[in-house]
Amino acid sequence: MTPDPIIRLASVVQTLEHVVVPAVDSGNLLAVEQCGVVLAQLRMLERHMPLIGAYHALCLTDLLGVVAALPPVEGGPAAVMARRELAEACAQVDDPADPRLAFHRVGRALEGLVRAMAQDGEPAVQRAIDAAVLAFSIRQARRARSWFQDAGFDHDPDSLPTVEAMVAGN
Amino acid sequence: MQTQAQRLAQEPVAAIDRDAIEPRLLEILLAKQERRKLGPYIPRTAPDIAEGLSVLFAREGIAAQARGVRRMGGGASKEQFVFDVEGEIDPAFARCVLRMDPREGIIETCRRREAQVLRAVAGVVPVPPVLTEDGDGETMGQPLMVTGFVGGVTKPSDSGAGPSGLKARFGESLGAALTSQFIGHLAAIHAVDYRAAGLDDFAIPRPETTDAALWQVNYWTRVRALEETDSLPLLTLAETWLYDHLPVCEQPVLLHGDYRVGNFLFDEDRQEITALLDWELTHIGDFHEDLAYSFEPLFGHRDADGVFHVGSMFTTEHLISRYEALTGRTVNPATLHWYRVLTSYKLIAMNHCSSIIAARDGTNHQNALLAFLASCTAGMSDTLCELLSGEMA
Repeated sequence: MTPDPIIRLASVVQTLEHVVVPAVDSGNLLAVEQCGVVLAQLRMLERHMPLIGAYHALCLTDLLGVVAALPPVEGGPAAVMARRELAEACAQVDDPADPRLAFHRVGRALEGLVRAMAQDGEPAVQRAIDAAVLAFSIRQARRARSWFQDAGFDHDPDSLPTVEAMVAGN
Repeated sequence: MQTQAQRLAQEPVAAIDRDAIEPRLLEILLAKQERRKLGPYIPRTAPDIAEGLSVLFAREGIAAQARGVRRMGGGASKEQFVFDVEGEIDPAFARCVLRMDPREGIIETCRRREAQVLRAVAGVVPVPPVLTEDGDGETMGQPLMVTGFVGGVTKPSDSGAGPSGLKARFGESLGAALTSQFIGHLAAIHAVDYRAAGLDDFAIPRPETTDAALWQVNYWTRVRALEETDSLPLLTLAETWLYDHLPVCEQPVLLHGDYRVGNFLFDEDRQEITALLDWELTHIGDFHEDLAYSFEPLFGHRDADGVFHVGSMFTTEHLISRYEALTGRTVNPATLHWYRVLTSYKLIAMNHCSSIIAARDGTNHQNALLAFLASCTAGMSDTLCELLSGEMA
């Protein structure tokens, strides 16, 4: 299909930057500030666009791996039910058309298990599950920091791989 | 520190009331959920505001007219306009600022509470004087507050900074001058006798209980329940840890709730703080909460040696030692750690939940900014992971 979405987006960014933004009333502070934000967001999207599918698939693969490696649940009815719901969420992920939605569906089920284990789970198993979720969260936070490093908020951007390297698994 | 887990060893599990939230905060949080159904929000124009101010002044018996209404920059959570006032008015209100809620924002707060606390701390610390407020949005459709305009800047004129004054850098002389005022004002806020301050819309946690901590976790967990669109298992991990380690607050104090660089004005020439701003998150709670807020990496910088400086001005060690010297209080490291986890938890809730849902539905005046700010969640998550790592090893 042509034109390529990246070309379409790049042309919008260039037009905004060189034609539209310079014409904005400098006395309209809201408009001026929003122009800066809009351009920054579009530039970030321009970089993300070719990588979006791979990024979400990477996150989902890690999450599914974490769930697969969880210890068998021991505990009360809430914990047992939450583990069953997590298994069902994972079973629906076969060949996901949308890895982002699948990630959040499985993630919510995992959150349900974390809450249920705090409620009536066996303490040793709860600790193991919490540790696995934390280890995953550390990896996920690093991926997200790399993904959004162009936003300019990161406290240590020099420590991060580029978006392209991160998605490539480096 | 006696934690909830230790208390529960002696008390039944039912002791944790997960519905305990300050009544006024719950009321406006639930009202917001209904307001969302009205659809996208169109930012107000200056003529809209001028007309609304005429109605407001007439209603309040203020014999004056607003002139030259214009929008102010900044303000990720509120629409802000500045205008001149002509008529029979105290000179402190010759120029005023209108703070008005958009339909939704990064936080849902109460203009009535904000006006109450500004009146309570006037004369204690520098704050804008309150002219009037409309806490229920009867005159312009959205809650609002009008204060006198106070001169000053939120960042040095030769310093770049991000949205909301984040990442501003202060020079050595200016930083040193502002540091003592910044910490001194915090101590003064915490010394306010809130029971005699007319804070009618505030609830007071019981001393020697976990109320102060519990109400905070309950509130931000409710925000998540109502507004979280995407999964972030880390937040639920933090939620269960927070509930399991609720610290006891011996003596609640008045808290600013958002005490950081970007939320005060200063005069560059006099090197003096002219006004402490953004009192919308003010509540009564544990003094550790305001201190813990300063530790958030987003609100500071690391120097070449990797040492963290709050707002580029002072170290966290200096903050604690100076605060202890000024107040006579002793900072409990475990309680401070709990409130650092809470700080991460609530900042992520704001950015990961409320910002995204407002941007999704177009209910803010700066939807693009809210969607952009949501990316802060990545760095904040990293901070939260670090804080929890020592707890789950």
